[in-house]
Amino acid sequence: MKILRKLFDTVRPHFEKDGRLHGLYFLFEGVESFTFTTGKVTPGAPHVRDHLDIKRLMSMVIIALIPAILVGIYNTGLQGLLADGLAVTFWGAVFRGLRVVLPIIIVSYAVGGFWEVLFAVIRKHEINEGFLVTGMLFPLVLPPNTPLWQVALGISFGVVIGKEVFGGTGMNIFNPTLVGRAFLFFSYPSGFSGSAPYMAARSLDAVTSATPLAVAAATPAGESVTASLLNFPLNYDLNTFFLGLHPGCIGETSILAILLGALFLLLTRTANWRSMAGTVIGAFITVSLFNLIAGPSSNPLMHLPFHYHILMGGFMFGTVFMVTDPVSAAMTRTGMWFYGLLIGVMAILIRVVNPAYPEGMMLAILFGNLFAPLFDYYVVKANMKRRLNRAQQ
Amino acid sequence: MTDFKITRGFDIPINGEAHRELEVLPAANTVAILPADFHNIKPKLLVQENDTVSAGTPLFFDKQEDRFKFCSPISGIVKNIHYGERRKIEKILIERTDNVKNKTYKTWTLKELENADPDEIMVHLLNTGLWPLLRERPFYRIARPDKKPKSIFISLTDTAPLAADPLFLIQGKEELFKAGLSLLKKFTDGKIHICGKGESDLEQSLHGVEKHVFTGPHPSGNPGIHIHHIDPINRGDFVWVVRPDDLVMILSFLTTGQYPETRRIALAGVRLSNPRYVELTRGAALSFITDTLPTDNEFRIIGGNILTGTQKSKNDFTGYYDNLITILPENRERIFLGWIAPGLKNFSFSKTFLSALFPKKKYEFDSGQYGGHRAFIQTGLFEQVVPMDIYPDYLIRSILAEDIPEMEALGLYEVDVEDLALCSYIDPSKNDVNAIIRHGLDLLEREG
Repeated sequence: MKILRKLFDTVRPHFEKDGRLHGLYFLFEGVESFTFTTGKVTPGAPHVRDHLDIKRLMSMVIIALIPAILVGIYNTGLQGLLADGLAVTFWGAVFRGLRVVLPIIIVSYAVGGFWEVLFAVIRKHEINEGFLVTGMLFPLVLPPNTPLWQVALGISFGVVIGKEVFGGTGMNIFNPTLVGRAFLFFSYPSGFSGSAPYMAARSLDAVTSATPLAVAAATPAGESVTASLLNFPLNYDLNTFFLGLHPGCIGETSILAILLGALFLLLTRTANWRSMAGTVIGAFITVSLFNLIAGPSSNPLMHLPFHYHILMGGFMFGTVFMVTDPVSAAMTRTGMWFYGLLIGVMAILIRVVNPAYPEGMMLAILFGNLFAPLFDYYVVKANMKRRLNRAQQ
Repeated sequence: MTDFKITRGFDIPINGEAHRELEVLPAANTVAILPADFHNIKPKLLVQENDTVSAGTPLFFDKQEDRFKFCSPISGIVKNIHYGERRKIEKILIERTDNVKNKTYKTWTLKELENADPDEIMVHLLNTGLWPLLRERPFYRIARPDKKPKSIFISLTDTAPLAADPLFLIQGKEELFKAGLSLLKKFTDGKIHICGKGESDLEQSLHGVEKHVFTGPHPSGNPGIHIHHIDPINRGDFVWVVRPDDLVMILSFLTTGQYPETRRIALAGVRLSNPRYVELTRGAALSFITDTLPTDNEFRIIGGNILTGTQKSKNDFTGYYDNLITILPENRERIFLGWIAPGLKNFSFSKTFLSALFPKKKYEFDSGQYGGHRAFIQTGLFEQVVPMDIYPDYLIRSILAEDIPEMEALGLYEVDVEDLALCSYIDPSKNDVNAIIRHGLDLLEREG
């Protein structure tokens, strides 16, 4: 440790004012503050500060993601083995999963990190640890067969257009991860349709292993969605969904893993429960309404019960890790409820009513991001009005 | 009597509170008056070096309101006038001499006070430099004479970290406090609001005032919170805020004619050998504490509490309003990978450290900043520590944008730095909310 400390102290002058590498000061600061705490004291009142900083806050999200990452790696390998018709062993699946997922994560961090550092150095501000989360979330919302160049393109779009053009972390309107994903989704739709043969790019024998949502969306009118899920070769029942051993985006499949993460986020109070609860309630209301009005000849998805909706696709992952992004969410308590409700309603609407997209979560959250400031606006306006009325009494 | 249960807020679990024992310290021979203690005044000197002054003699006045006079607390000679940059008066040192005797000022008996003319009392207090103890919200400025406040607030509880207990500060002088309440009634057509925890005998025995009970975590004891819930300030309104110990000081002066030379002060901080209350000459040098501190560490001396107090140097003096001196260890240690440490010993408002498993434990806090400055990220957090119908995130934004109508509409008149200081404390992005609110209030006072 002392050697490391000495090293930092030796090179520090080069990065400080008048140093040759002063332009890169914030890169140095980023590396140094990652290694050692700042050692700064408060400049004045308040004389004490909480121990929590953004680094730790963001690490909490990463920790919460660990179960989803681990299951995601295993599941990716497992589905690959199944698609290729190979014998399934635990370690076989893990290694295969690592071979697919690790490169995606590395590319996401490397390319996204490059933009992050570049903007920090040019704009002369500290490197923001928020990127640690974006860089990890992004691979988890991609289908495992996403080519690496698309990963690089998507994260670049997400970081630059989704965040930096607005002025950087804290100023962005949309969730950068989802901006990047939406970009890929619309530019290269074949990989995201959910019904593409799983791992087809790497497998000669294109076994039809469609995602549950794709199967559900393809159910003919008059038939039951749950039955067609069960009849599908992969036996899509509730247990499969809960454990997450079925095709889907890397991190979104296992509801168990996501719930573990959610529990951690809520226990550490890293994420706000209001927007999460709002989303689930919004979805529940919408599903119940559909169930209520559905007739025998109507869209079979309208009959699909609520628990299927939250167990399938990216609903839970989005609710736990995307809806709760504090920057793009509503800020006021009341606003958070409305924000969550809107996303829940929209996600189900898109799934059930829109025939083009089997999954609605991504678009629903982006839609919610767009409306979050509006909810806050009305909450704050109401507050101003209360104050004004009081004055006139 | 109304009951207010405050739920939003937070008590910082810091140890080192002053024991409830009072030590009378020997009278100080040198004291200082610091013009910076007073909100927004432009001092103009009335004395020169080597002038003799007795306790209560004006040393300077405010150029903007020449009735505001600021006086020496002891009798002696003006030893030194310290100037800072641009000839700003920093402090005036008074040295006690035996040949100058204390003056005896006009006295009122408690009975006489009941029928006294408020204008006469006002002029008397203005001329003897005790008027600044009466303060006005918004802005916490010295109460403007001749302007009747719509009500007067007195808080009998102070929930700030390690704060001096107002009830202990006036212990033994309860009768003066009650007489003070009757006196204050002469200065307003509105009500006198007493806010406390509702437990003390003193509160039970008060009559003829509005009594309110505020329970819950800090800032439930702040006058700003009381005002917001009881008689909120709109544009153009103002109320007075008087601290119990200040009121007692005024009454003791009026009834004895002796200029109040001392003040009861709490000394807090876990590294003090004996955190306690002391009776100390007003404006005394801080060396009496700093000389007793352990030498193994660097310490910060704070006039006031750790959330809003002023940092003092070793050779400084106690301030005009200080009834608390907090000693806080400095911490410049750099810890390897500290941001991911499990944190059994690191307290946090969040639950992201293992210390969250021991909610009752108290900690020794220090001046470490624990993280670098970042953009505002975790929005919505501040609402958890602001027990008012105010949206702190939006208020802060309006101030950063210097949008005065917006600040007014969002309730800046109702807050002061102390009411939102917890936002600075809990912010993981380490923004200085105190400074932002200060900036907003200054803007509003100047241009609003």
